[in-house]
Amino acid sequence: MLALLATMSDRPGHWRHGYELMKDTGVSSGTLYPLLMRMTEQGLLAAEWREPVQAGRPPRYAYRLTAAGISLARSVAESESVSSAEMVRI
Amino acid sequence: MIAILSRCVMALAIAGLGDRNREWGFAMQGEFEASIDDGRPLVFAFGCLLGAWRMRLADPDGRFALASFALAVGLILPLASVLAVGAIVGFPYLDFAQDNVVGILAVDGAPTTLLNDGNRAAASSLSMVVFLLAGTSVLIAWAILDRNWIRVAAVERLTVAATLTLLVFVVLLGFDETRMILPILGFVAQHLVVLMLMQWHWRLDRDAASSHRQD
Repeated sequence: MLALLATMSDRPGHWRHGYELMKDTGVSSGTLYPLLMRMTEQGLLAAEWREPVQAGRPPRYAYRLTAAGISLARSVAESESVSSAEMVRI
Repeated sequence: MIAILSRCVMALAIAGLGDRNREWGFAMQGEFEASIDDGRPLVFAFGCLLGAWRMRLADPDGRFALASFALAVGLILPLASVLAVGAIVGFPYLDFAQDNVVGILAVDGAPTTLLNDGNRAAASSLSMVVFLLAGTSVLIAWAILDRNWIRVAAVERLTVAATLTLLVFVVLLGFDETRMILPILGFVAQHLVVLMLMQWHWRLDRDAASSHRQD
């Protein structure tokens, strides 16, 4: 989930497809879809159908972070930077 | 070949998600085309299948569906197969006192039977009843997967009637009645499975209704 949040928060308003997310995050489809479902149910992600670019292809689902998702991604990034700064100090 | 196999795996994955998550199945299907373009459809499809099964196991309704499927395919359908093979080789009038199951199935020529001039006419009817029992098991498995308990009960009544008919005729015609242990035990096992699944389904419905009321 952290990898997905980090990847999606790079361009928070940008809609992305599942396969693109799979390649960017490096997680398998079997891990990605349960995550996408859970995050959508929790209101962290918005999902909508997109018409296919090529004729004869099925429509595709696209995802982007909601306001709640963006704020969670920011707080996770902040806490990670604080903990890495502490590690450096130690 | 890989594309065909991948499509079959995807179809299984989408079916495994169940009706509640059907839309997510279509979402996976949309991305599957992208995985074909990328040259990795099989990896994507197997990932989706594993994910679908994991999601089903996390969901109480999904656990019920998987358990029903496992019991129908792993217990009831093999029972139906045993009864159908039994009917083909001559159960319940086949004489297997001096032979084992492998010997009976591999028999060359006419097998030894318990039939005589007095009861030979009943043989085909008894085989039909055993075939009927095999058929009712298939119907019960189907009705369980449909969660149609009224149909399960109706077919079970038919199974009881057929089993009792078989028992009565086996006794009246002088066959060895101990061989009726197999269909009776089969029916008892099947009935216990049905009772367990019915109670489980009833509890699921009750929990779903109470959560709706709370919403």
